[in-house]
Amino acid sequence: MPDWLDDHELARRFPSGDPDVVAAVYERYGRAVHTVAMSFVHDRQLADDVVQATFLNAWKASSTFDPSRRLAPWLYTIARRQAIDVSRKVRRVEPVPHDRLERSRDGAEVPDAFDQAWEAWQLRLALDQLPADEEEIVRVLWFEGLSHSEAADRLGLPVGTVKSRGFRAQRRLASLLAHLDDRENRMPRRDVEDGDTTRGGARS
Amino acid sequence: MSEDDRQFDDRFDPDDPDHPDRAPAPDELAAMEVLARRLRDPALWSSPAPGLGTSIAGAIDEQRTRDDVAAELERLDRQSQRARAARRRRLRPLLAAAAAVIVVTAGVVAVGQLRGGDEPPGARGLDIDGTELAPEASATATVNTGGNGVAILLDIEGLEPAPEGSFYQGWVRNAEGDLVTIGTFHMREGDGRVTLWSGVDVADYPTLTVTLQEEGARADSSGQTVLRGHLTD
Repeated sequence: MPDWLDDHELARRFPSGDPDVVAAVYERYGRAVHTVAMSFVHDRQLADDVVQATFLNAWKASSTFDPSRRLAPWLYTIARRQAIDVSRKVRRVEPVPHDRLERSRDGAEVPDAFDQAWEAWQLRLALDQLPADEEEIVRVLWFEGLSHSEAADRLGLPVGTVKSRGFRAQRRLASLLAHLDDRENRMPRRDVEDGDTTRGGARS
Repeated sequence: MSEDDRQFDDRFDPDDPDHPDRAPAPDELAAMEVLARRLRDPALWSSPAPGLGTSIAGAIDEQRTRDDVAAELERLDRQSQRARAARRRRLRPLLAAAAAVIVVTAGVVAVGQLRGGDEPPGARGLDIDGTELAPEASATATVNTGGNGVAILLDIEGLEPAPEGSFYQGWVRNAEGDLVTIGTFHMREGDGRVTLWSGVDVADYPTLTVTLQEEGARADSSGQTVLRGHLTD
């Protein structure tokens, strides 16, 4: 993978269909596209179909893409459209997650699917920019809900290391996602959006 | 513990306001709760199937190859169409001329077939009149100059069949009165169309006559002219 390629260079070279460039774009955005797909279809296999369709359609449309613009929002838009299409085709009616129901009863604002997908996209791209060990800590602490000591046992690390990595990861994420709160978590729903979490690079 | 972790831990003492163990401020706590909520989204932690990226790159490469081939075929097809069009443009005058020739030839052949002749091109029709011996007779002469001689097609009407023992003979004559025979016929059957052949140029022998001849008589003109006319305009 050509790590040296920045986002604009990737966008410029993407229309060529060069497998190395396509692989680089996938490496940078594939998981985030999968996340957006999962936000709508809630099925890993269907999400993979969405990922494949997203990249194929993006490549087909790439000759019309202005490479001076950011690749990420454009890919997000295509991914979301594909995910919605697939979601409509399979006609899945997903139950509302329990925690969202609880929050609804409490009167707290529950993000709709669009906002949730946009948040998930931004968050996934931010996670992709964390070092692998920090992402792992974030996963076990905040997703799996383990305590520091449980996480230390699971990962075979001192508790202090778990705390320090977790703290560091949290600060990085807060920094990477600061604009989400600045914009009150809102994402323009037009087809061409701008602004995103990405800094034009994959995980360092 | 990594060196990075060690440095991180060494940087903090328990009283450091940025220490991970310190109690967070209320706004920080709220932000952490928002972040924690976001991080609980299972979609974030789902991974695409291994090898999906390679599969996508392969699919795009395959599509790109197909597109390239299709574009090349289209280009060749356009090139071929342009070449055909250019060839048509170049051949158009020739084709038009050929078509004209075909039309004329077809017309001539059709006339020839209708009249029982096979005249070469260059025909023109001329009126031939009956004489006092055959006042009811008339004819239209069509002259065709070909490689083997001059074909003179006579479309004759009102001329009685030659009595038994006699026949009709065609002649062309020049200004000096020299006669050249162009053939014989009898009009006893058929449709009145007769083709006679001249070995001399009708421009030099412009007068056509048809005489009634007796079999066994001299080869000269009998002088009994039944049709007379001019083969030049």
